[in-house]
Amino acid sequence: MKQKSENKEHWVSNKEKKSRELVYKLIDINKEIDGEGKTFRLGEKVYFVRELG
Amino acid sequence: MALAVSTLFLFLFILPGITFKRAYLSSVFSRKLKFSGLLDEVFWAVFPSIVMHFLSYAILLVAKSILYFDFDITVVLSKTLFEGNSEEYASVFLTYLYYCTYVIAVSFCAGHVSRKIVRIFKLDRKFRLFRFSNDWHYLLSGEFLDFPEVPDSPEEVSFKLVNVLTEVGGKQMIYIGELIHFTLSDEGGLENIVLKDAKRRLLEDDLLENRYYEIPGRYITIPYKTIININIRYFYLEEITSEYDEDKLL
Repeated sequence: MKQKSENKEHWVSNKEKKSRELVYKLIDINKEIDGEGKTFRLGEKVYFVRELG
Repeated sequence: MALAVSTLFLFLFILPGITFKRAYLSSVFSRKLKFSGLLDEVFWAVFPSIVMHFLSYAILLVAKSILYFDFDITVVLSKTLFEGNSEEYASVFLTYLYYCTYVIAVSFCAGHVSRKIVRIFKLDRKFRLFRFSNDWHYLLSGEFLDFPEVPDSPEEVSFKLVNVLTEVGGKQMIYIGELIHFTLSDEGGLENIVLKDAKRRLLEDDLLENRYYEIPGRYITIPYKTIININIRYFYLEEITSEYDEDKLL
């Protein structure tokens, strides 16, 4: 059964333009991201990221 | 002579099946037509042909009742396919040619429409039977996540991160960045990929701490011919506005 996210309100769409800082941050922490998910801070914002698949 | 003509008639009869198959597989992620064995090829020419003839005949019947014209296909087909008389062939050849052109046109449209239906209803993702031949499309677009054997769904993808190992001038270089675009080749493979905000490093610098260095431009295109392998990861990203555990932040 495919899992769907319940909270789409603050989901960052694939189409959304991401800042270079955000991309670099994800590159830097990518080895630590897993299927369970991690939270990280970038400037004033806090993000939750998890690996799909 | 009669054998040659009947072979031509038979070829014209199965041509709609070939047209249907070509039209169905004409999109960029399924363009390569591989020879899959004589029996298989004959089956996939004859079977769709029969279906296309039935479909075309049904459309003809509807058109006849609306437009009030007279056309009896059974006479034409019985003369062309079952009677070996040259005079009979000559009398119906033009009519049969018109009919075959019409069926081929229907098959062409039906092939494209069938592909659209498969894509709109995502049948190629749900059933292996409908899956198109170019795997790169499914992998790089994230549609791969919709396969029944894979958890999660492509609608959740926020970010596609790729590690690309390339070889240029005898040196192996790793590029890492957001996958923003890709082009599939006409041969059924991959032409190039475009990364946004990429970084790169030499493979031999694997043990160095600050091994990646930034690429000044925002977009970099990497031709497939230079790629040794690709590692792709799909991420779900969400901005947190509720409470969070400060200690668990990366």
